[in-house]
Formats: sequence, structure tokens, C-alpha cells
Amino acid sequence: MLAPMVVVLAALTIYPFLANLWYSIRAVDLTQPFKQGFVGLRNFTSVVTGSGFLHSLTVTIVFVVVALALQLVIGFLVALALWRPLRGSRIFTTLLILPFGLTPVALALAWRLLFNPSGGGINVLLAHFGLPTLDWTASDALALPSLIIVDTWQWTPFVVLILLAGLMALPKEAFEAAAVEGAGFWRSVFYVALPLLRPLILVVVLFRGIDLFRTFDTFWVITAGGPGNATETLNVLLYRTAFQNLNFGRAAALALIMLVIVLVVSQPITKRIVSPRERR
Amino acid sequence: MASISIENVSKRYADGALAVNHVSLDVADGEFVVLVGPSGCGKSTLLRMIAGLEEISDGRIVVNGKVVNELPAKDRDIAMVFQTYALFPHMTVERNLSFGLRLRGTPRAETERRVREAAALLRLEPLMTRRPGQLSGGQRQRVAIGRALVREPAAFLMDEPLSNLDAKLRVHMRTEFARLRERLHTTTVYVTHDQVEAMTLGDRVCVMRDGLVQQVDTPEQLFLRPRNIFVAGFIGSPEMNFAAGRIENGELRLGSLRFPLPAAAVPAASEGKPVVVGLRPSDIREVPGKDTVEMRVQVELVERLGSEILAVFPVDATGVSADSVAAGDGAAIMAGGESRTSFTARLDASTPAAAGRPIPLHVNPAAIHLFDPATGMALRQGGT
Repeated sequence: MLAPMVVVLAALTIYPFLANLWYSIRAVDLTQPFKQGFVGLRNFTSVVTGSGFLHSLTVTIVFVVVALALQLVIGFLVALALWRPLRGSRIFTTLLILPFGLTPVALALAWRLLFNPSGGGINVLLAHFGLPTLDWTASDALALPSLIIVDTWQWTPFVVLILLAGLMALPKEAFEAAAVEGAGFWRSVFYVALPLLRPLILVVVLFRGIDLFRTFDTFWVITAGGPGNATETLNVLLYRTAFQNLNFGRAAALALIMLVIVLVVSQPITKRIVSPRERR
Repeated sequence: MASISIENVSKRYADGALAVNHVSLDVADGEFVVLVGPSGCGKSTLLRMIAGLEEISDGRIVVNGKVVNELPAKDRDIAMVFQTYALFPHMTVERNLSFGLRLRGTPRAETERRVREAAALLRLEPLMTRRPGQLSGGQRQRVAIGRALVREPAAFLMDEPLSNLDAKLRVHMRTEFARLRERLHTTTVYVTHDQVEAMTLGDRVCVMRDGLVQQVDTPEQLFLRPRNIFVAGFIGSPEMNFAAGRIENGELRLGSLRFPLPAAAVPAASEGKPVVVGLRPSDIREVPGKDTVEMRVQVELVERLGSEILAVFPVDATGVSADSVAAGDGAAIMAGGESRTSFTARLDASTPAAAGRPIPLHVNPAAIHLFDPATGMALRQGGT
């Protein structure tokens, strides 16, 4: 019974991983097809010491940290607003599913049009209210924030839904007890809701963190890593190394480095998600 | 400490249901009042209104001379112990105890002193670093009480605090409560559906039904002089025996039994009319006494409780359900039904009672309660 599953798993996961490992220690540069062979860790050192790596790593970290922080803060505030049943809140909650239900490429294309400095929807709106128009994705300084806005717009509703589900599941009595003990709304939120939601918040951090780290389509469609290399994340660098520079050996090494980064960062979070159960 | 005055308070929900119906009750400074009644009688809703967790539809609640209707729960200086304890699962016992004091900005030394005192009083010292999930039901209960104690609030509100404990622990904690009550003398409103808890703990007990107060009195008076058939049936275990009877020539007729009633005890308007007869199982004795009337009964069933027995025997009179009479269908009860019902007697364990065996039992007519079959109100309150 297990055999077909093992075959599928081997074909889809184990083989690509092993192939990646194999490429990462060999020279596989399609522009130099006759220079193939074992190179040890040279692919790794050339990735890490390469000109673009540190920059791409910084761009990726800024994108992940800022977008995650924004999505968590806005997501939690919206979830709090929807927590108390208000007229229309149910319809609003249903509408929340729409943004992250959309195809990322289609969505990115729509945002590229909106961000267009001449005639894009956002600048038209700014001009309508007499505000200065901005260069958005065409400017070094605004390109990354623009992409953060797109991701936050698309994925905050997901955070809202998870945190709202968590808030709804919290015991009502704990909040009543806090109120009787002397806590107002915000103190109940800080002293009761947030600590009780901690495991769920960590799950959101883990899911969204990994997802943000591997975001590619939005970047590629809207800025393609530009202007210059202003929005060149590790993913964009990886794509360029593999499919534009055709250096698959170095790209495989970069992919492994990215995998290690994800594992190292997510490990302590995973540990904390599991640990509260042990404490109880 | 504080006095609590509930003045004509009602609670109407959005769907029109009236959970609390014009209730008035005064709780004196330092008094322990128990709200008791069956599920859905409005006792917990009333308590939550005092706490500020439920809006008041009508009337007003006054704590220490100050109307608190519009005051949020956090500003009422009232502590509450919840049925589910409502401890904060992410905090240690120590943090749970000190939560209210920390919120109020109480100096650290003062907070520590009060937490230490409460922990000592409730024997919580070895548990201070544990979280609620690591405690047993009884320990959680003590932490919940401790959390209420440390604040030294104007009043305590307790919402069925013992109902989640097993029977043995409940009896133990009831004793602990009684001990705390004697020691602290803090104004307390305590909600329970258990009449034994109500009788053992309350200075006064308020019996509620369908959102209405049925009677507020001391436990002894509730037992001896219930105002209506509902209170008579609710208070006392086993329940009071009820049957249809008739008063004729100053004599109570209960099936084939005749009980002479003292002239002063018979309400003039009841003469020749049907009445509901109430007789507590503990007022049926195995030995004759002064003025007792003997009835020979055929025992159907004997329940042995150790120090006493419950003997069930048939009486040739129409049975009456306390619930139906007080709900206003008294006439229907009196008209129909089988003219045979079962009575229970609470007798000494040495009584030679056995199923199928006839024994003589004795009742003092002075102990008989009489109720109006239409309204359920007491016509005559018995008690010996």
C-alpha cells in the first residue's frame, strides 16, 4: 500500500533534492558546457562572496520583516474590530477571502498598472486630491515599499481570518474575569487575548514568514528585481543565476543556502509553537 | 465592605425573553446571601448584572449607596468567582492571584504581602509557580477564590463555584467556604442550584423561579415556613410530599386519613374546599409523640442511607406536582389524576421497615403545610 506513495514522494521530493545537492557541488554552467565536473564547495563560496548575495539577502530580510510586521499588526487590529459582532461584519469576513484567492500573477499585473507613474490608478487618485504623485515601482526608494504594500494587501486578510478564528475560540470567561479584575478593553487585549493567541500568532509568523521569503511572482511581474537591483531578493537572484546566466551549479548552491536559512530561522519558532502544550 | 441593593431589576433579552423579572433584594454589609433556584431561573443573570457583565434592562443596582447601572465591570470594585474558575491559563498561580492588584497599580510590596496572605489562607504556597493546567479541580477552585480575596473587594460574587467539583470535593470545599465566610465577613452574593449549599452557607437565601423571587428568608424559615408550594418543594431533601386534600369541619382529609387541625390554623376561606397538603419526609415519625395521628402504611420501597432510611409508601390521595401548581394549573391538577400517590418518610435506620410490610407511622398535624391549589401560596405554614 505504501509503495505508490513512496514512489510519488521519491519522484517529486527526494529526487529533485538529491539532484539539487548533486548540481551544487559540480560545475554546471550551460555557457561553458565543456567545463563540467566536481568543484566541491566552490559554488557555495562564489554565491556567498558574489556581488549580489549580501544585497539580495538584505532586500529579502527587509521585505520579510516589514511585510510580516505590517500584516500582523493590521491583521490583528482588523480581527479585533471584527471580533465584536457588528452589522455587516459577517459579509466583510467573507469578502476577506477574495484577495488571497486571486492568482498572484494576475494580481501583480493589476498592481503594476495601478503603480504606473503616468496614468496609473494610484497616481490618478493622488492627483485628484491635489497630492503629489509618486514614482512608485520606478523609484529606487519606493519600489520595495510598493511590493510590501501589494503583499500586505493580498495577505493581511489571511492573517485576519486566522487571528479572528483564534479570538472567537478564546474562553469568554477569561475576558469577563479580566473585566471584573479591573481590565478595560485594551488591557484585556494585551494581558489576556495576545498571550492566549501566542501559539496561533507563531503559526502565522511561521507560515507567512516562509511564504514571504519565497515570494517570487509579484517581484518578477511588477519590478523584475528593478529598478537596477533595488528589489532583487534571493529568489530573483536565484532565477537570474539559473535561467538568465544559465549557471545551474551556482543556482543549486544558492537554493541550498536559502533552504538552510529557512530551517535555521523557523526552527526556534516551531519549537515555541509546540512548547506551550508541554507546559500545561 | 459594602451593601448591595437591587431595586426592581429586570433583564429582557433582544428576543423578548424576560430572564429576571422585577427583582428587589437588599444585601446588608457583610451579609452572605445565596441565590438559589433551578436552571434558567435567572439567578446567574442577576449575579452578572451586579458584576457589570450583563446590561440592566430596567431598575437599578446600588452598591454602597452608589447607582452602578452604567459603571463598567472594571470600576465596580467587586470580585467574582466563576463556575469555570476563569483562571488565566498563561499565567502562574502567583500571577493569577496578583493580576487585579497589578492592574490597579498596587505597590509591589503590598501586592506580595496580600498574595502571600491569600496563598497561606488557601494553602496555595506550594503551587505558586504552577499554571492552571497543572492544577486539580479543587486547587483551581482555591486559586479562583484567592484571586477574589487578594483584591479585598467591596463584595464577592460567586457563580456556582462548586458545581464543577466531584461530590466529595464539593462537600469539602463547602466547608472551606463556610470557614472563610466566618473569617472574612465580606458581603457575598452566592449563586447555586444546590439547595444544600444554599442552606448551609447563606445568612439568607433568595429562592428564584422563572426570573421571579419566590421568597427571601433565613434557611430555617425557608424550611419551616415556605411562602409557596415551589419553595416548599425546592427546599429540603428528600422533597416535601404533596397531595390533594380537603378541609371539612376543621379537619384535614387526605384520602382515608383524617388530621384534626387546630382551629386557629384553618383559614376560614378554606373550609369545605380542596387544598394541597405538604408534608416533609422528616415530619413523618416512626414513634408516636404528643398530638400525633397514626397512619398505617404499606411500605413499597426502602432506601438505606446508613444512619437513616427513606421509606416510600402509597397514600390514597391525588398526587400534586409542586411545579404545576405554582405555574397556575392547580385546578387541572385537582380535577384529574389517579387518586393514589407515593409519600416518602425519613426514618431512623433502626425502624423495622421492609418492602411489602405494614408499619405504623405518626404525623403531628401541626407539621402539615397547606397550600392554595390555584395560586400555590401557603394557606398555613407547618413545622415542628
